[in-house]
Amino acid sequence: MKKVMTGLSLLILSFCAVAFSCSYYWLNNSGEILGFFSRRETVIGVLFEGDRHDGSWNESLLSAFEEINDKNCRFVYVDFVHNGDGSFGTAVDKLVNRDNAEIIFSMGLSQPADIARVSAEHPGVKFYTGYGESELPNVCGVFVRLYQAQYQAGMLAAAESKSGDIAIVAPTPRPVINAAVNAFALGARKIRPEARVHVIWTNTLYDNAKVVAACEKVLAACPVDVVGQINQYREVLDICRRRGIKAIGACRDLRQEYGDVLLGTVIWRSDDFIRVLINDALEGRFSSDSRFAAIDENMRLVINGSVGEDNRSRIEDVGRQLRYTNRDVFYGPVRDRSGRVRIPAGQNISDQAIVSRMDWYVQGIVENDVPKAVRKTVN
Amino acid sequence: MIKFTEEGDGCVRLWATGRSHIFRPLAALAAVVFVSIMLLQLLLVNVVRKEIDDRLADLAAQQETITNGRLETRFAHLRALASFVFADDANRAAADYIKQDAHLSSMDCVGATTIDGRIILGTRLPETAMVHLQEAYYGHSVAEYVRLGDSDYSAALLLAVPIVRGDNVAGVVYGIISGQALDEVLFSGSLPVNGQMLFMSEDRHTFIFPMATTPDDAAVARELRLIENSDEIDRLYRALYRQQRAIGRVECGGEIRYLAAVPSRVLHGWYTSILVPRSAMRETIFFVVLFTAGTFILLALLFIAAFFYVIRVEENRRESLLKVAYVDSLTGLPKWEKLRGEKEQDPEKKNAVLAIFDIDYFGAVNKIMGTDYGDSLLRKISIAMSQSVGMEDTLAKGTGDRFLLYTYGHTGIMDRLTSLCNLISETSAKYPLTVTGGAVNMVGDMTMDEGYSRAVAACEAARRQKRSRGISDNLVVMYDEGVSAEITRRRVLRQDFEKAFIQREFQPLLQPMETLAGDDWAAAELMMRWNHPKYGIVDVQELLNNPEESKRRTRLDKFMLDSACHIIRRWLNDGRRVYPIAVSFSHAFMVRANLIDEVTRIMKLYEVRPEYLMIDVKESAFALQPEVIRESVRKLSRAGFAVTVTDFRFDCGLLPELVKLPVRRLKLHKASFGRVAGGVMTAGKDSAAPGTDKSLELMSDFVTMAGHLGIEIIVNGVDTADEREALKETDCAMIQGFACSRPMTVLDYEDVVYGGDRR
Repeated sequence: MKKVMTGLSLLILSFCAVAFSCSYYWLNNSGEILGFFSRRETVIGVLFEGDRHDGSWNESLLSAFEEINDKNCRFVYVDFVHNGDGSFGTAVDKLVNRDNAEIIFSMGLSQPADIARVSAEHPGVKFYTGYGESELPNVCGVFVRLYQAQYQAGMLAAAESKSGDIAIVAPTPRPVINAAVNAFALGARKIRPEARVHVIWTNTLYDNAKVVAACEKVLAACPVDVVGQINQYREVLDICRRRGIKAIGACRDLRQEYGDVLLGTVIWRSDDFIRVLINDALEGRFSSDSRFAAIDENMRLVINGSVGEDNRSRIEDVGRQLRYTNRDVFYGPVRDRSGRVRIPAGQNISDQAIVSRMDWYVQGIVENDVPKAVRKTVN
Repeated sequence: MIKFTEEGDGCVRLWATGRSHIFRPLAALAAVVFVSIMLLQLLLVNVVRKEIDDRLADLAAQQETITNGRLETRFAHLRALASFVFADDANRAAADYIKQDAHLSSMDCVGATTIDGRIILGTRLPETAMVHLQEAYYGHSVAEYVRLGDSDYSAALLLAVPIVRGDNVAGVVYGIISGQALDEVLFSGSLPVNGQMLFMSEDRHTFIFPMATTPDDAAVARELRLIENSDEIDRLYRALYRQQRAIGRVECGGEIRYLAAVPSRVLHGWYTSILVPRSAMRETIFFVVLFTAGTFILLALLFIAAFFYVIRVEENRRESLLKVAYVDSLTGLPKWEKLRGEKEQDPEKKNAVLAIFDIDYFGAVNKIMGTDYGDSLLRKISIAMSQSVGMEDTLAKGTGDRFLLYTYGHTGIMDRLTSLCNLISETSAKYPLTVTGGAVNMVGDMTMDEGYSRAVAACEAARRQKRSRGISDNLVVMYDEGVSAEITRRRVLRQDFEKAFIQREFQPLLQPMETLAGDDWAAAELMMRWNHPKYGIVDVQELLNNPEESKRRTRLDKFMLDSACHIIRRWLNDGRRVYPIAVSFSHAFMVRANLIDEVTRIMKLYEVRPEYLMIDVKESAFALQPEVIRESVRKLSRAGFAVTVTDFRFDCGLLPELVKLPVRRLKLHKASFGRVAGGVMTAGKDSAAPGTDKSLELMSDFVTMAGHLGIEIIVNGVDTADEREALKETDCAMIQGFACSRPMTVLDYEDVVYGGDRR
């Protein structure tokens, strides 16, 4: 009995000592104890317009997310989130309510109206959207200045074109796409001032039949011998191969498959950039201020070996100028198709104007390829 | 809770199987209280810790808000300036604005540049700062940390806004804040006070320390560099993961400080951090810790004291229980358990003798003289025996009226034991006591338990001898081979008992009873003789004269009843005159709840009426459970049976009950008869003064008195003609004994009774 009691007493005193030590340690050292116990993995939702394995923009983003491979994060991917048909809201609701997603990437072309509505419904979720500027507290616009690399692509297309007729395959007309088309045309005109740029509007992101039809129609009508792309399609590259014309890829480097067709590819290795965005969101630095990705080692035009050294060095020099000087692609004077000075000499166009108000086209773009609505207002 | 357990060595051990009735609740309460306090303390610590963290974070956030507001103000002034800066050199108004604006004039190097890098206002930025303007050329405001020199306090803050013209950017207006101005922007106001330090740091991945602008700050910076890139800082800023703040403890300049960091809204990727000396938080922390720990320890001590109090109480209880267990409370003598424990390992045990003294019929003393007298008598006996035994002897008290003696020396032991028996007998002046004793020499490796059981066996043997010899004096028997053989014989007989019924080893005998006049048979007593194949004729009544044999005794009673009914049925079938047969019912059978059912069942089986049977119940059967026995007698009487109380003695306690009990006959005990008719027998033998003994007159009066109660008297053990003649002076109804006939087999009985041969 005495042994039991002595043991019990020692146990109680030990218990006191442990409790005292723990209390002292916690008070002096650690932060929020309960916060430590509530720590868990972060679910990040990623929305794709179309198939995530599209060989283009979506697949490029997908590979970036897969590259991150953060053990504290879990990525949930949702395909075919379309614009304006309610699927965006439905997908976000599922991600938030079912998967407890805390961060959602929608780096496609989602409509601003959808973002505003959905972000208001989920104020605790942080959204990274491809739309450039945002006034919403939990929405950060991400503006990727791919048009700078498209400027180089335009230069390459013009340099390699024999006929001076080049084309660029573009999805739906909108400011960011228009900026890329204009940059392509400005680049082409920098090499060949007389170059004519045909814009092949596919009006879709993932309907390959429409893409093929649009492409065949323009190529059949025009003597185009180099085709650039804002969104890359294997079907376009197949058509080019069949017609014996050259192409410039976008987003994903497919030189292994289409080395005979491709002159170069506009690429953006976005994993580092996305990792910073995720860390910002997780470490309290998230803000609604827009985030930018500009031309650098990760975003550039990769030129194929078949391109001559002169053209290559000239194009790469332009890339360095864009990277290290203050002059942008849209550095004035820049005139639209009607000859009106849109950007006066000595000025850059602002990012805000590009992502929200660029509804005009530069000289060199063939009139028939300008969307009718734009033709009416601008011309 | 205390209990006894039997150990392998035969000793009884006392165990504390539980703690006590309050130990378990106290232990449970202690567990609940301590767990509750622990949880409470954890909760309290967490609350206090959170409160401290909140205070630290609030300090940092407060300063971040102040800093943010100041920077926003300066941005607003720069934007105002940018709104009227021209792309050419006509910027006189702008220059005047800078001079007049306090915020802008406090900046170093306020100016404006075109996209091409041409300065159109103010002075040119150092090249190290120019590279940070790039985002401004795309239309965004810039707030960047720049370092203007190599010293620790060369930090500066670059603010830049675009010169926006419509959708386009024409240039950038910028300003550098450094030195005292930067101190005012970042640190002036509430901090630093009380040794607190404030600094700005870039994100944890690069961790550029700190935005120091003065030599004092530089000193801090040098101190902070001590922890730069250390694990502590890395751990601290990892706390920012998923949180809006980081709180931790760092060792800085040999001193422990608390550090809180919150993200800066204006300086993207930067944190506003605050270092607070531990002393600022120390008082609260130590108060909480000491209070909770003190309370905890105080409660622990209280519980420990309570536990020890419980131990004390428990030990007292244990001692008292041990006393109860080992000491007889009546006599103060040690109990058998103690004697056994003490003497089990006695080295002189082989020279020892263990004796048992059992007082005969001590229960009658308690009944007749009262339990108080019985208790006082036991005390007197214990005192007397204690005074008589030697110093080396150990006297102990067994169960009931049994005394034990552990003594040394085999020589003259029987004389010593007999004298002790006599001493016990002489102790009682009012009531004659006789003692039966048994003893055993503790030879060889005999254990105390073995010795005890052999002494008991010897005592039982002595009792049997007394019964068989009909003596009532003290008798002590030493355990020997004869006793051992008797024990073996009894064990074998008990084993063979049930088998004997199957193998028809039980033989019914009938001993006739006749009228006192001797002119007719009156009845017969059924006896049962066991012809055992090994031991021959066995006195089965003696064998089963033990309360432990109640089951076998009941079995035998029913068999005897069955046999009697069978005999009567046969006589009835033969058309013979049936003299009643007396069947003895034991105490065990009489106390059975279904006694009447079982008896009537057997009677019905043979279709025998109750008047053909006489139910004998021994007077001694009334000693135990008397009320039950009386009730059974009444039931038997109501069922038509004539109940006879046998072995009746004048001095028994049943005498006053005869008025109430429906007893038909009394069979006088042979001893009682001998005592009453002793004079007659003596007269018969010695032919002296026959019929003049007063005891015979007393008996005659008793028979007359019984006759008044409607009770007939049967005198048993009338073995001689003289005794028969002497009894003729009384009015007893029947006599039984060798003077009438010996017990005989049923066939012999029939020859004698129905064959016309009276003798």
